[in-house]
Amino acid sequence: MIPSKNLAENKLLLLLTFVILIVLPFIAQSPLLLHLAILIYLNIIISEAWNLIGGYAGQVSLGNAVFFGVGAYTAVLLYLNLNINLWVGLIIGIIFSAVLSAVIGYICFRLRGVFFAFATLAVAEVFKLLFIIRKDITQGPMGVVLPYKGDSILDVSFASKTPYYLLTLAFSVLAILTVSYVSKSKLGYYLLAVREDEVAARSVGINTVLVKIIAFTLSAILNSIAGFLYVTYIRYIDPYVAFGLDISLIQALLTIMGGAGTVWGPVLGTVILIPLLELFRVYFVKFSGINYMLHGALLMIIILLMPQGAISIVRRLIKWLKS
Amino acid sequence: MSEMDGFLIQILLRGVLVGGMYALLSVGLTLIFGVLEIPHFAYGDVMMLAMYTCYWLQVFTGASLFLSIIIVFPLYLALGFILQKFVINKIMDKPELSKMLFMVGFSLFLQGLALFVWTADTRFVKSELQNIYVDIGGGKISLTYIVNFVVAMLFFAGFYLWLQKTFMGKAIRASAQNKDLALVTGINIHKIFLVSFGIATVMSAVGAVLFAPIYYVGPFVGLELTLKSFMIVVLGGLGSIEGALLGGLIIGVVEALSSYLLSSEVKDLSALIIFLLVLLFKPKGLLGKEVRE
Repeated sequence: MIPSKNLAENKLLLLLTFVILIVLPFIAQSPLLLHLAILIYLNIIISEAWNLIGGYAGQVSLGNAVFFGVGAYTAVLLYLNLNINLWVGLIIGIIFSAVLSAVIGYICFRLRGVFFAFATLAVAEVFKLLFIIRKDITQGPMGVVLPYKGDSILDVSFASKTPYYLLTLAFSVLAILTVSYVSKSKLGYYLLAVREDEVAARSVGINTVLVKIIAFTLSAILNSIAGFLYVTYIRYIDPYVAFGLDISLIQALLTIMGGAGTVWGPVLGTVILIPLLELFRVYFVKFSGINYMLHGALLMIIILLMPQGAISIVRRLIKWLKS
Repeated sequence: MSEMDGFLIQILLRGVLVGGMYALLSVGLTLIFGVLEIPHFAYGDVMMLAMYTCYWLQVFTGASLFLSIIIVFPLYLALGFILQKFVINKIMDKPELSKMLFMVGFSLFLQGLALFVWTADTRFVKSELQNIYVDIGGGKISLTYIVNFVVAMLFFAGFYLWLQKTFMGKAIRASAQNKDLALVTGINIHKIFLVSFGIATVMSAVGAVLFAPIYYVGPFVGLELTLKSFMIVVLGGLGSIEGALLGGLIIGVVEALSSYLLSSEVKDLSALIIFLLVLLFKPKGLLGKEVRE
C-alpha cells in the first residue's frame, strides 16, 4: 500500500499523469502510438476485471471472455438487427453480463480452485459453440461487421483514433477506481478473507458465495464494457475472438505479471507486457507459433520467478530510494 | 426390427466404441490429479504431439497405426519421465492455482511449438482398416472403430491390472489415498511421482494414437482433448479409474446421440452441457468418493 502521509502528494501525481494522458493524443498524432495506447487501456480494463475475481477473491476464472463476448455481441446485434442505439446496447449488454455472471457464478462457485477454473472455461466454450451454431442470429463463425458511419458519437464511429483513445482511457480509469474502491471497502476485506481461507471466512459469518458473486459480477461488467469498446474500435467480432481462451487468459497473465490483488499491479503488468507482446506479434507475423511460445514461456517464468508480480519489485525499489 | 432401430443401435454402438477410446485417453489425467495433484492443463497438448508423431511415422516410414504404437510407447514413457523430472518437479510445492497457470503456460508453449514446426494445417492419420466395414445391427461400422476400441480396452485393462496387482501399482494407489501414511511405510514418493507421470503420459499417448484416425491432427487439438479428458474424469469422479471408463462411455454416447438426433454441430455442446449439469447436481462426479478438504 502507498503510505498514507503521502496520499495527497500521490493523488496530485496521479491527477497530473491523467491530464498528461488526456492531452497526449492532441500532441502526439502518431496513429501507431494511439493504437498501442488504446490496446493498453482495453487490457487495463479486463485485467482489473480479472484482478477482482482472480486477484482479490482468489477464484481463477478462465471464462471471463463470456462477458467480453456478450458485451460486444449484444450491442452490435441489437444495433444491426433492431436498430437500437449502440450506447443503449452497451447498457443492455452490461445488464445481460451482470445477470449471466450471477447465474454462472451460482453454478460454478460450488466448485473450488481448479474445478472452478475448468467449469468457467467450459461455460465459455458453450457460448462460443452457441454463437457459432446460431448462424441465423449471430452470422456464425463468419463474425459480424460493424459498418463505419462517418464521424458520429451516437454510432460510436470515428475516423480518427483520438475519440477511441479518450473513451478507452476514461473506462480504464473507471476500472482502476472500481478496484481501488473495492480494495478499501468492506467487500475488499471479505474477498481477501475468502481468498485466504474460505472455511474460516464462512465461520465468521461472511456469506462467501454472495461475496464471490458480487466480485464476479463486477468483473463481468468491466469485461462487457471492454468488449463493447473493442468492437466499436475494431468494428468486427467473431465467436473465436469474443469467447476464445485468449481473452480470458491475457487478463490473468497481465494481472499476475503485474501483481494480483493490488490496485496498480494489473496496470503495471499491462504497460510492460502489451507493448512487448505487440512487438513480438509484429516481428513474428509470419511465425505466429513463436508468439504463442513466448506467451507460454513468459507465463511459466513469471509463476516460477516472481509469483508476487512486478509490483513487488517496484515497491522494494521505491522503499530503497526513499531510505 | 425397423430400419430406424437398426440405425439407432448403430449410433449407440459407435458412441460406445468412441467412448472406450476416450476412456483410455483420459485415464492418465485421473492418475496425475490423484497422485501428483497437478492440474495438467497441457495434458491434451502432449497427446497432440503423440498424434503428430504417429502422423510423421506414417508419412516417412509408412508405418502402420499399430506399429507406431510400438514406437510411441517407449518414446512417450521417456517423455513423461523427462517432463516430470525437469518441468513438473519444479512446481510441486507451489499453490494449486500457480500450478495450473504454469501448466496453461506450458500448454501455450507446446501449441506454439506445433504451430511453428508443423504450421496450422489440419492433417489426418490413416488406418489400414478404415475402408473395411462390418455389418452390425443393420448398419455399417468401419473396422477402425472396432479394432481401435478393442486395443484401447486392452491397454485400459492392462493399466487397471497393473495398478491393482503389482507392488508399484499398490504403492501408487496408497500414495493417492494418503501421502503421509505412504511415506511412513517407506514408499519412495519421488519414484511414485515419476512412474505415475510416465505411465499417465504413455496411456494418453497410446489413446491419442488410437483416436487419431477418427479425428484430426492440428496444433490446437490439444485444448479440445484436455477439456474432453477433464470432463470425462470429473464426470466419472476424480481419482477413480472405473470413473474414467464410465465418463468416457457417457460422453461418447451423448456425442453420438446428439449428432444423430440434432446435428453434428451440437455434438460438443451437448457434452459440455451434460458435464455442467453433473457438476451442478453431483460435484464429486458419478463414482467420486468423498475427499477430505
